[in-house]
Amino acid sequence: MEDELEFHLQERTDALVAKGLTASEARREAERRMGDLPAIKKNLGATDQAHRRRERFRDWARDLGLSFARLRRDPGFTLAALATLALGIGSAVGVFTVVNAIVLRPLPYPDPGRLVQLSPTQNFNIALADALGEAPALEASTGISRWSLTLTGYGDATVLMTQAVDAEFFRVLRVQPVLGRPFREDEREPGISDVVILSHDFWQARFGGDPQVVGRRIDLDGGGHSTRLVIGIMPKDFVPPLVRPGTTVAAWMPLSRAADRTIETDSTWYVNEVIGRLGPEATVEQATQQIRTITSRLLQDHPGVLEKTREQTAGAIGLLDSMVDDVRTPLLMLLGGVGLVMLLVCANLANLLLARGERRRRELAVRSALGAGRLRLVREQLTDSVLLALIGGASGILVARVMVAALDLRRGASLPRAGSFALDWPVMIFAVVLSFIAALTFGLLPAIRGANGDLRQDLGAGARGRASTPARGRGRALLVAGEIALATILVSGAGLLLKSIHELRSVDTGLDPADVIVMELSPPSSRYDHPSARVLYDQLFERLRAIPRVRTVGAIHLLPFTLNNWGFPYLAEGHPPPDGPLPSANFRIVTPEYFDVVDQPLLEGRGLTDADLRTDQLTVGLINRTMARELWPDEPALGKVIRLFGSQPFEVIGVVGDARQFTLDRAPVAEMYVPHAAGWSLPGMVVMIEADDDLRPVMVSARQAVGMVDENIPIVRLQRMDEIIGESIARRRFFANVLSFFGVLALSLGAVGVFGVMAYTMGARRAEFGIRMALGATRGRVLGRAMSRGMLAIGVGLAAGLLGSTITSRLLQSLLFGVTPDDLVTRVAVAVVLGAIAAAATFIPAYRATRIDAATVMRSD
Amino acid sequence: MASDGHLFLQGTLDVLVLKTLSWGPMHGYGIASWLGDRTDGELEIEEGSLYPALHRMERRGWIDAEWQITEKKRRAKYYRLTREGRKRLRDDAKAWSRFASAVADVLDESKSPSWAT
Repeated sequence: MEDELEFHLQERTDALVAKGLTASEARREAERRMGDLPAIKKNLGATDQAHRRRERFRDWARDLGLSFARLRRDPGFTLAALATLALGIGSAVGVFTVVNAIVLRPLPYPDPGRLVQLSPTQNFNIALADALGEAPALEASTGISRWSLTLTGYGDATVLMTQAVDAEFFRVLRVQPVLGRPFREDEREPGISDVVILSHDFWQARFGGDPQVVGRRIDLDGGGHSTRLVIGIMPKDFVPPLVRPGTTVAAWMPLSRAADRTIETDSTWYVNEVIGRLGPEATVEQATQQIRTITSRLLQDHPGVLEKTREQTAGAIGLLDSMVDDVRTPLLMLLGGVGLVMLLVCANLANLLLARGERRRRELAVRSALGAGRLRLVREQLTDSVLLALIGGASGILVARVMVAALDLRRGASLPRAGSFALDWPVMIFAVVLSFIAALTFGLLPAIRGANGDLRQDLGAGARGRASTPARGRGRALLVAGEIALATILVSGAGLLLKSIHELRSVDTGLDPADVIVMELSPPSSRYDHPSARVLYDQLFERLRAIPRVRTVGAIHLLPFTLNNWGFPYLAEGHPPPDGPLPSANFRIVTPEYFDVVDQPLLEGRGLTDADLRTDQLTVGLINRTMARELWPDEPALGKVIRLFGSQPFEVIGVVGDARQFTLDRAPVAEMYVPHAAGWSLPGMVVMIEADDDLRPVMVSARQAVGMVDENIPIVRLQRMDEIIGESIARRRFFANVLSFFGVLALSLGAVGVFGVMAYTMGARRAEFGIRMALGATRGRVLGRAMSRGMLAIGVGLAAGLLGSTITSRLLQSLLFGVTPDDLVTRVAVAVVLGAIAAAATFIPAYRATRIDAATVMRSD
Repeated sequence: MASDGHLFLQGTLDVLVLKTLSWGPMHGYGIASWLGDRTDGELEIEEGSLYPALHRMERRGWIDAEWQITEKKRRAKYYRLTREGRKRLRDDAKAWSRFASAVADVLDESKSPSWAT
């Protein structure tokens, strides 16, 4: 462009010289007339640039349009590739979301890496928690205990899940109430510990966000007080630490006990966790060391109060680690599963693209001969891949959404931190990047291959002549075998887990949950201490029994199949007191008909009667078979005396069958049952109702019955018992679901892959089939030969997969139940199902290929 | 020397250039000279308008360009009409004539409207 203007200048100069000016004058005049040279150049440059950009864009748009058309013309390939991409990316994104939310995301507190939990498997009393908190490595520490407080006077009576904490709780987590103030140190004193801090959500829901609530005294019963002063509201997005999945915390109260208590005399053994914050220079290892040292010293100073086992499990762990520790392995397994799926996806994509590349070889060869540059052809392939990547990635995100929703992750598969599994930007970007990598990697390969090569071979002889080389065929067979193997591994895993779930469900729980309704009550203890609690339940049971179709009504103070437990020490007749602490057994308070409701069998002696409820001190009780066998293996347990805490005696009048009080997969432990009477007539009981037929109207009537007795009694829980059992296997079920999803995915991908390969191979061999059949071979024979290679590959794949699954099943060990990793039935089932599907995927294209008219095939080409 | 304030529409310059090139291929300076001579100095096209127009028309495919050596041994970019350009020239020329005669009609003194005073 500059040259052009320069030429113009020179010509004009010449013309001016011809008119009589000197060379230099002419030049100057010419330049003057030209005007603002730089401006002109810039203008020209700008228009040029704008135009070039528009052209490039048009080129790109046209390329994309062509790609789109190309892909549409080949719907089989396109749909298969898109489906593969979408499923693969969707799974990867879905799993990444989960893993991110649980394991990778830091805890939502300032400087969360400094937070630790002390001796996670132990429980403490306040004095012990204080002692551990003295470790120099910790700059602050607090105990945490789970309570429930009953609120009345603001709408329906409700139970608030509460955390009882120390004043240092706020220093540990570096959080302050957004209204009001935190607890003071001195509010531990039982006399002045009647304060409460509410959660933001609860404050909004129950008090409408009224700031006047702070400073008001409300009727909040529990923890030794019947009213409490609201002194603060926590910030809106505050996440309470170490909360069980599926529960929310509505309030905080101070841990309280009299100041003069020591570890020995402190009876507050309900501190479940102790967390702390490391000082600026301290490390977790230092803290662990110090905790161990302190624990050892305490064991020496207070023998008989602390068990020796505490020393082994003493230490400090990062808080996040502690929370996710037991899901780490299963989650890693998930990642492994998705990794396998991605392998399948890549194998399928490679297959599809390579096959397509070969199909287009001829076309590419012709175009190459006609002058299309290699770069252009490669660019075309790349554009195809990019388009696939974009659409595939977008679909993948949709699949991920569906997957996350379908797995119902929000309802907590009892996974920690299962708060929000939102698909946010980092995850989306991850998805897009993944799809690009996948599509580009497998788009480039055939693209480069396709643009190379000896054209003569492709151009001449037609497609017929250009049969695939044996090497290619072997490569394809290998791919098929590989895909089948991977699919087998995944489906095996899923099968094992599903079988475990099935086994769990049919575990003899020792109870019959069918037809039983569970209603957990939490009457305010200030009004319902003995004997009013007895009266309450008598009245309530009378009403409940009057409900039509109710067969039996009973109560127990802790719900089975949940992790709640009371374990009390005891002395058994005929067993001398041990040197160390007393043995303990599970302790339950029951009403006489409880065992009938849940069909827990009475094996020896008699059950409890109404008379046993009317006593004013503990006299009789029942034990389960495990306890009877443990204590008196060779004698009858009936008539023996057991001393609770070593001091409160009761006579064993009956032995009942074992029930699983924890979760389904643990063996039953020793358990003792005392009647709901005298000092043990607690206000809070779990009422269990056995009824006929439809339980729903009974549930409604039961709720009304409670209201009629006292409308201020909150009902904490009202559901069917078999639902509760379902929840206890929720975590296993989650993983089973996920693996099943992957299993089905792997199956589909494998089938699609096999189908694709076979369709291509058969298509290429159509001419051969035609010739064979024209020469007299029956269709059956031709079909058989056609399928043989494919079936061989499938067989190899199955074998390899079954072999591989023996290894991977070991990883699942912790989640299996009632099923060994080598379970035969599962393997056979997997092999049969996979084999059948793969065989079908082989048969269909082969069959179609043989259904041709021989003459047509040989003519076409 | 008249400036191209006379050229009210960009399209006018285009049709002039296209017509010029219909006589044969020529470079930018030659086009400008010819137009100036042909109109006795009435239309002196400035470089700032001519070259952008030439490049624009080249993009549109109405003209083709090729570098050649002149007799004076200089490198010059020669423009040539394409078939597209020829068609465009025909259409534009027709449109321009119609436009010109319309203007002439209005400027005709002999015809006056009914409301003339």
